[in-house]
Amino acid sequence: MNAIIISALWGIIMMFSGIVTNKAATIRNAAVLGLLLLLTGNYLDLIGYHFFPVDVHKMLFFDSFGLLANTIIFGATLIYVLLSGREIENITARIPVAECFALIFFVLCGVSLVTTFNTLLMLFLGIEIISIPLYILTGSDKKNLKSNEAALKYFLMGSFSTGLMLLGIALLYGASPTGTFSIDDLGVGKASLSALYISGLLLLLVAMGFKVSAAPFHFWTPDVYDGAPTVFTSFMATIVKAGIFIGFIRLFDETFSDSQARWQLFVAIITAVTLFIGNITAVFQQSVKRMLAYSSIAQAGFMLLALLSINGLAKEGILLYAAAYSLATIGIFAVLIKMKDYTFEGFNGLAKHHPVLAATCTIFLLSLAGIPLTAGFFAKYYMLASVIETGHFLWLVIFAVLCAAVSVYYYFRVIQAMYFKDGDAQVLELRPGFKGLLVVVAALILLLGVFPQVVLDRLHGLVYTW
Amino acid sequence: MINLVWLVPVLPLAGFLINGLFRNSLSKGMTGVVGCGVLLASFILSLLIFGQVRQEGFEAVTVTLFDFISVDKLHIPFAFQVDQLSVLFLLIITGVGFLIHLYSTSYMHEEEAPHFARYFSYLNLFVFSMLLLVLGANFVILFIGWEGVGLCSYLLIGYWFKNIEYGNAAKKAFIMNRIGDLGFLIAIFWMINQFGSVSFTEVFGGASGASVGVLTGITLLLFVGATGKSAQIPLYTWLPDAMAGPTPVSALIHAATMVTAGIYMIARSHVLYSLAPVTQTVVAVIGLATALFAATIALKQNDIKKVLAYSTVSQLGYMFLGLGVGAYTGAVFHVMTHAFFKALLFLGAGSVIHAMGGEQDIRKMGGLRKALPVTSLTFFIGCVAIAGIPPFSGFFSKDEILAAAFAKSPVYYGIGLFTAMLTAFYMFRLFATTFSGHFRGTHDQEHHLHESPSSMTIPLIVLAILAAVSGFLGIPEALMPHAHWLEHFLSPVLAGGGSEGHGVAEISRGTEVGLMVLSAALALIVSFWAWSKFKSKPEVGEPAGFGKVLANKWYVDELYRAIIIRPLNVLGKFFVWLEKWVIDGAVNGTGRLVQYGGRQLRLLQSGQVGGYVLLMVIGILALFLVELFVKK
Amino acid sequence: MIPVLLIAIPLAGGLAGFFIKNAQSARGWSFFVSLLALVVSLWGLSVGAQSPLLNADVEWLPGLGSRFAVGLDGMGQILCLLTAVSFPVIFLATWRNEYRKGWNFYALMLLSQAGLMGVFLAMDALLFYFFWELALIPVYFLCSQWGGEKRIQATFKFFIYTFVGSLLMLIAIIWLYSHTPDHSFSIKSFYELRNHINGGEQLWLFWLFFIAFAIKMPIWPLHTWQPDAYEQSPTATTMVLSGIMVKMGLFGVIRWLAPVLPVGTWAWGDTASALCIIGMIYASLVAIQQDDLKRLVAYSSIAHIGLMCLAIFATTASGMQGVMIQMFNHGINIIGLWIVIDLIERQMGTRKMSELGGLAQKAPALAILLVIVALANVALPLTNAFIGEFLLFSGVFSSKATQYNVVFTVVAGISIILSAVYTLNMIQRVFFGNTNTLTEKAKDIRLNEKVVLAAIVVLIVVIGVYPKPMLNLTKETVDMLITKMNYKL
Repeated sequence: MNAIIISALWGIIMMFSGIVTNKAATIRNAAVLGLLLLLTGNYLDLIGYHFFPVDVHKMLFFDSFGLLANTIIFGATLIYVLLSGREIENITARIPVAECFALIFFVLCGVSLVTTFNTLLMLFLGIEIISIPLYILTGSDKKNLKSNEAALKYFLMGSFSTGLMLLGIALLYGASPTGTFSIDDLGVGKASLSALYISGLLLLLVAMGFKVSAAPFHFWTPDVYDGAPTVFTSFMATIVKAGIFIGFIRLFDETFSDSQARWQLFVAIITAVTLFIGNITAVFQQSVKRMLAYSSIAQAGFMLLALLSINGLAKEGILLYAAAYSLATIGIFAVLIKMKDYTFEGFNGLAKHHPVLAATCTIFLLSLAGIPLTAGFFAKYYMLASVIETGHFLWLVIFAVLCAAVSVYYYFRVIQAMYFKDGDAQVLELRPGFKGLLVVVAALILLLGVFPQVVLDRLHGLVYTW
Repeated sequence: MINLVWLVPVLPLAGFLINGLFRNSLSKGMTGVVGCGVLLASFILSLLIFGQVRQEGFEAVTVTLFDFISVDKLHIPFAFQVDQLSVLFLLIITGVGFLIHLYSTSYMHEEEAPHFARYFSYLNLFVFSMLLLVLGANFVILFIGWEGVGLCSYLLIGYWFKNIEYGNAAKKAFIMNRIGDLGFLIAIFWMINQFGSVSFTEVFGGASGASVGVLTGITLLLFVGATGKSAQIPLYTWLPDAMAGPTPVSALIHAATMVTAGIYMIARSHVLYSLAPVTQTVVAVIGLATALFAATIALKQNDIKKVLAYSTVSQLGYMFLGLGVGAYTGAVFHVMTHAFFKALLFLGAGSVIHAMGGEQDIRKMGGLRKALPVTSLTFFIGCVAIAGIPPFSGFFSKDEILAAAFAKSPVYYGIGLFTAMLTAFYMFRLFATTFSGHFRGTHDQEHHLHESPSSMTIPLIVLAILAAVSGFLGIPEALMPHAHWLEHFLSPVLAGGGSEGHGVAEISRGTEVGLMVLSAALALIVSFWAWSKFKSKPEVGEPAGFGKVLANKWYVDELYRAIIIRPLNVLGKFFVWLEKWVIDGAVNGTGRLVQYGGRQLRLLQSGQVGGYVLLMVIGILALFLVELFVKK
Repeated sequence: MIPVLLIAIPLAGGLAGFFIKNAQSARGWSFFVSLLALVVSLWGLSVGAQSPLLNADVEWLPGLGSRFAVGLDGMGQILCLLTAVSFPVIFLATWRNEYRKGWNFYALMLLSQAGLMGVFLAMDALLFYFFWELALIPVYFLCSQWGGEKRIQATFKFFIYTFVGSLLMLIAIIWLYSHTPDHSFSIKSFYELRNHINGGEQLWLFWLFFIAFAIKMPIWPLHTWQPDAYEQSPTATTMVLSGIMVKMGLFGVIRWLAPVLPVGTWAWGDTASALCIIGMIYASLVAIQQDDLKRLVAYSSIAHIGLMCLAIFATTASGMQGVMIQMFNHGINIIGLWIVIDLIERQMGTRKMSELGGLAQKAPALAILLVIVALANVALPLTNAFIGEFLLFSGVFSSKATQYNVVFTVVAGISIILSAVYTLNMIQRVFFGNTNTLTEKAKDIRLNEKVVLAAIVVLIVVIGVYPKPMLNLTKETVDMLITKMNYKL
């Protein structure tokens, strides 16, 4: 509860801060402050201090899984703002900085709804609260046609998926004997066999799949990620996606766990397609930004494995994956924004001129590729392990690792460019603080890669006690 | 004293190390002293050991140095076995070896000091390996020496490494030996599998328990090894090429000692062979065939060393015939006599080449008798000995084999006798063309003709004496009962499975004497005929017709090149192609496929929202279809 | 204690190395560190098999049932010794090679050593997988940073190729882990698994493992990364790759495949052996066709490794002993060959045999030393390789696990002959014959090189004449393995 309210309020505060001051730095610091508040508020929630004793009528359920997810997401956002917050100002002809931050907070509000919803209505609400600000952020580079085009595309397709989602919810409502939206009572008993139910389930699957850009509902992703200002691409690709994924898992775990046998195959198919398209298409990209767009699809494919096999490992794993993936991707984008040239050639010889940048970037990429010693390895490990634990879909696991091998191809292209190719990569001016922060993030990834226990212990306890 | 037997091989090893490590600092004189000294020392040691061994009722002694390989049930000690057979070979190797070392000191004198030292270190290393071979108390130690001598022969054939031709000859020798060695190795593994041991005593002890099939297999494989080392059909072609090495090397390795390793090995394991009649026949036939085949080639060779080389192959064939018909003593006897007269002949040839300033073609020689009295005389004795003219050594040893052969089957005898005639013929052709008649070389060659220094002639003389008299160690029973000292001496080792005892006994004394007279007479006639034929008008022209085939060694080398070497090369080239285009092609192909897929899938990303939505709808429909039609 | 040191010393040394911004001192430093590791591994040999110092086991990932468990058994001893001996030798032999930003080079070398040690010491499957990858990463950077002109593609192929393999292995490991009763990665629980998983499952699990190991060794037809990688890598790295890294594959089969999946190993033994043998003949024939020294040695190495792998599947004590000792010998010998090739290349600027010749006149010492190493390469008696190959072959011949043992022995034996062919060809074409304009100005080797090669030669001969200590070292391991590999139990 804390998180939802704080984020909403702070969003409003940020909006008005634009009137009080137009000094970007102040606004940014205000945002940072807000995020810190969010984190503490959410943490207090986690350990049982609720500021706002509101009766939510079972509309929301604040279990540690959701709250933990919030923590990760807010933390990621904090790092994101510290690393790339400045870049918002560098977008020429943008909407005012204050409003950008306001929108970011609204998105967070939506996310915290999605991570803790207990009825489909709340889920829908959350999804929409996330989506609408994103449409705006995507188009925030007003003078830039690509940005506008992306925003429009995103909006059009987004509304299409919204429609699907509503239809799905309606069908499920109809299917449920008692006529309820509450995920606790949905699809219990006979109902889960009716055609209505399955149809609704499928439509929800599609709609959520669209949001996490699962193939074949991913087509908006490359265009939008490519068109949107890089700084917001980074936001969408990491924090938002992670948030929605938590909701995705939550939905299927709570609502449809009884009928798992009936939808697992669909998830398997979607996962396979997503992995395939994401990885294969990323191979041939010339622009690192676009490559990252596709890699985000590929990574989504891996996260879908958790959806396939909803069990303890999967839930632990998805949280770890969210953290690992967000950290690494935020880091990469932070570096990418600093590059003059977004193509692979643009990275040629980066190691010579900016060893720190290159080194940290390498760690991020290794993590995304899932090489041991990095958080990415354990993230992938959990996904694979969770599926193997179920004892089915071994073919999917093998397929997944083959795709992971492919992913090495395009991630390492960047490493090769940075270290082994000659050239002088053009980089915008760097603040020392920036480098320092990068190093911290990299260190965090390595820590998670060597002693994931420090987090896992918590996850373990919490996820199972819940 | 016998416990010091390890010193016999270790001394040459020391010589090898000294000459090898300090080759840059040692003077030629020092090198020579070290090289010959160690040999002399181990020869004396061998004599002392022989003194003990020849006493009546001497039991074979095994001296274990250390535990070489021991893996679960298999234990292979690094052990030496001292008995009559090994001691006999010790004497031959160290004795003849010493003479040849001595001879080398002046034969190789033109070499620079480091290379001179290299030569002697190789030579010492060879003697070391050869001694390991004959001293080893189990097949593995034997094999170590076996491959060791192969290595040394490789090194010494290729001693003048600047010359690629010599290098090729060396390679050929090593590889052909390797082919044989593979057979030997597999035989060893089979023994391990069968008897759980490789030591002579245990293997031979268990032999009677093994099935004939197994024994035939093992013995045949061992024989494959022998054909490689002792240059028998089909693996003989390396030996003539091996003449590329310095002549003393040819004398020591490719006549006196190494090439007889095969005979030693089979004689050593005669227990197994006696139990495998099939193998014995194979051995006899191969040996006989080789003897005849090589003799025919020798008829038309004009390189003085090549003639001797082929005669060596032929004589080795004789020895295998002896082994095949069970005349183990006879074979060993022939090994000994052959070591003397063939070493003598080679060293004589060396002395001739020395005098001729490196010329080896006998068509360019002639009339050397006057210029090289000692050489020609000793060479003559060698020829007489090998031709089998009594009372020279060759007669006795060869005759013992022939007698045994006759006992087995007259056909063997017939071919053997014919071969003997051929031998006599080409040897005296050689002698006549080289030493009789008038000189056919260039003028300044004639000018430089000179008898070799004493360090070369002394070995010649010693060997000549041995070649002349050593036959009396084995006077046939038929002529003088109980005079066959060698048979008596070796009986503790060879009598065990030696079927030759009754093998000879089968034919009456009369026939045996008759056969002797016959072969001796024929040998005498043929030798004289050849000598008179060639002393006046030697063949100087290029051979034509059938002679050409013989001169070209029946084109066997060409045959091998065509049916083995070329196919392997083609196969190799094919594999290289396969590697590049198929195996690696598949790997790179996968990569390219992925890239191609990426390029194609990219096209789905049309940028048209309509298209996207359409694809989404298709996706949804697909899911519904799955739901409808896929039964879960 | 000791195992931890073996990993920690090169790891710490390597990390420190990155900050020595001076190639010379970095070289000295890494040489010192590698010597330190060598001392420790010798200490490990001295303490005796039962010593508690040889094992370490601490909490790592309790949640996942994985512990940081490392230990030195006989096989570990041999391979760690090999690793510990190799690195100082390599550093010394390539002392004069200049590298751009050399300190990074030496640091990465030490890191790869740490990884290798870890692989050989890990007693926990997940830890093993960790080190398995860690050994790979530094080598990847070494090759693509300091290699030849086609280095990037070659190394990249090598990396992805092996990465695919190791991911498949990861699946197998996780699968096995999820079937262990106590949900643990420890090697003991894995060895218990034979009772919990049926033969049918072992059949496909076998390949998930074997592909990974076969790529590393490499086994035909998964070998094509190797010649390119060897050719393109800087020689120092090539030595690591061929001398030590290929052993990871054999080691993996011996420790993590054969004893864990005895039924699968037995069932696929003939298939795998056939691949090994095809590879031996194939590689030998291809080696004969090579003109580039590095490629020649690369292919000859494929043949030798094939033989060792063959002997593993023979499942005999003698064969296994042969593998153990031969893993060490092969490492030593091939490093010796690389050193010689490196010397030639540095002096002559070429590795093409067709452009060389007559070096024996100019560099007698080099020639002699090479000849001895080459003879070890063809397994001549009284060299270390003879002991190895003798045991390997006799193991294969007396194998009860297959009825084709004789065929295998004979066909594999042909490679002995072929190895003589290409090795002697190499000697002749490089060292014999007359000098040409290029080799005219060749010089003989310097002291440090002479010392290194002499040391290798001494090792070759000593092991070749008195292999007993080495054989005793691995006795228990071998007996344990043979019992574990008995699928009937």
